[in-house]
Amino acid sequence: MAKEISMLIDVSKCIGCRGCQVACKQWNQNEAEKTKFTGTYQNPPRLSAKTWTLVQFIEPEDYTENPRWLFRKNQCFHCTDATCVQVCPTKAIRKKENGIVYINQGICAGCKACVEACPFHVPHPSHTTGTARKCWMCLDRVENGLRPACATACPTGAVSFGLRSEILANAKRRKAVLESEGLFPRIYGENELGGLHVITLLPEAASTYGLPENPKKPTQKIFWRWVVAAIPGLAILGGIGRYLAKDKDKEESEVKVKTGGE
Amino acid sequence: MERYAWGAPVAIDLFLAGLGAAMFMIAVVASLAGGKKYRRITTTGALVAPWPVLLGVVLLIIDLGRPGRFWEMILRRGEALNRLESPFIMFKIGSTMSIGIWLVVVLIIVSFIYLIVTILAFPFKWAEKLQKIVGVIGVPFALLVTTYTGVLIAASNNALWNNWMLPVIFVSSAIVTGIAGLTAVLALLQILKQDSAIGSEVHRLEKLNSRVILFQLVMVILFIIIGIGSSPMRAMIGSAFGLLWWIGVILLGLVVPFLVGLKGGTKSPSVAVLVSMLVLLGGFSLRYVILIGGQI
Repeated sequence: MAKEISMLIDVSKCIGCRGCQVACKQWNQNEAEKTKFTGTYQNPPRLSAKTWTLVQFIEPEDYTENPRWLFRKNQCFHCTDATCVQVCPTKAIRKKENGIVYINQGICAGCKACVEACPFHVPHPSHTTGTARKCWMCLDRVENGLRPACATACPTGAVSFGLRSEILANAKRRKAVLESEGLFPRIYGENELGGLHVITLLPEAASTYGLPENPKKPTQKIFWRWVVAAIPGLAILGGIGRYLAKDKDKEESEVKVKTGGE
Repeated sequence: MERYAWGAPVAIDLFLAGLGAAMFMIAVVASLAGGKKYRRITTTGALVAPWPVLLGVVLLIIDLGRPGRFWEMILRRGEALNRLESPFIMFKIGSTMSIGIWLVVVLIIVSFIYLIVTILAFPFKWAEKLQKIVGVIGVPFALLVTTYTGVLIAASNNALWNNWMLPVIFVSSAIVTGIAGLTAVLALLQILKQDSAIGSEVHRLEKLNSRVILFQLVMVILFIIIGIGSSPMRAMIGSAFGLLWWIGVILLGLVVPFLVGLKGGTKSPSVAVLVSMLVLLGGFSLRYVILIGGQI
């Protein structure tokens, strides 16, 4: 059995060079995007079917401290309890034993259920292939003993890759270092959604970095959604049946009264 | 098309699936509640109901990124992942889309059988009992089809859709449009055949619908109250979509038909067609505004 792997994104080491973005595009042969300057170095503006990883440039406008310029590499988190795997009606999206979640491009029919379900808004529909596409943590490289392209390219060690146990140990070591510097870091992904396989070490609150503080599966309690909607529906149908049955009796008695009077 | 993962075709599909499923349910309920008395309603429903559902599925297939791979949702290729799975059929209990596709497939089959049996019931007595049996078998599937359209988009990452009332208003909206659809067809028949006997059926459906519409209005208000805390709801009802929402969905699609039904129905069949069209357009606008408005 393949051992569980993970990636660590230590945003405190990120210098925003976007080498990971370029490496990802090159290895996965994803074409460039035509974009416009929007006043930020973040480019392209968001993840897409052909941009699977992206350094987000964040300037918090809280004015409580010194101005900060934060970077976070965004990509698929490869959740253990992955919503996309659950909602996919063709089983095109599957999870490997090592934790990697990938979309089989030969099966995906392009229904976009995963696009609407992912709590991190990661998969995107491609207009060239008609399928949903996202980071697959360079499954082809990993299965041949290489690290994902982005981890190989990173010049500062902000992106590292390895066995999950080792990656988590490294994350905890770095967390202690940041704490000694007076920060309140969080290991994002240790337990979230059953454990993410892309762990992000965040020196600040997750919401500052554009992540949900407490990510949830949208399909939680889905059984109750069915029940909550089907029961009023059943009640309306019952009401219609009663109304029509009553209406019928009323008219029949009217007819009887009329015929009796003649 | 670039902007919305699920665009207008999906809104039309959700509307048509709900409309057809509801017409089917009303046809069956009418046959159970009134027997031969409501034969017109039942026959109309049986003849019309399968087509919107079928059209909806065709639209859904066209809207796929890879329409040619529709069969991947029905048939399995490759290995079964565990013993419980069929090696030939693709069905995932956890995937609302998968459940919905199977519900729709079953509903199309059952509603076409119902159509045939209903036609057979005219010359052959034995088919009447069969008609009721087929109808009762189909109702749970039809009800779940109307439910699935709402659950599908409610269980999403979208803050506007992630509302507990959303599947409820989709179900009641489907029934409202189903009754309106039957009203429109019957009123058109009345005009074509110059048969005033149909008029009483039209009035009955109009009065019936005003009650369901009242329920729908309450549910829609609850939907807004539950969602008003979230910014997407405020954005939706305050934007250009908000205009379509308040005027198209609420005023013309619900309040006006409610008042018409309350007053005992329309006087002429052509007005009845018009009012039913308002309900149908309102029901479609409801899906459209929520679907697109949730993605802006």
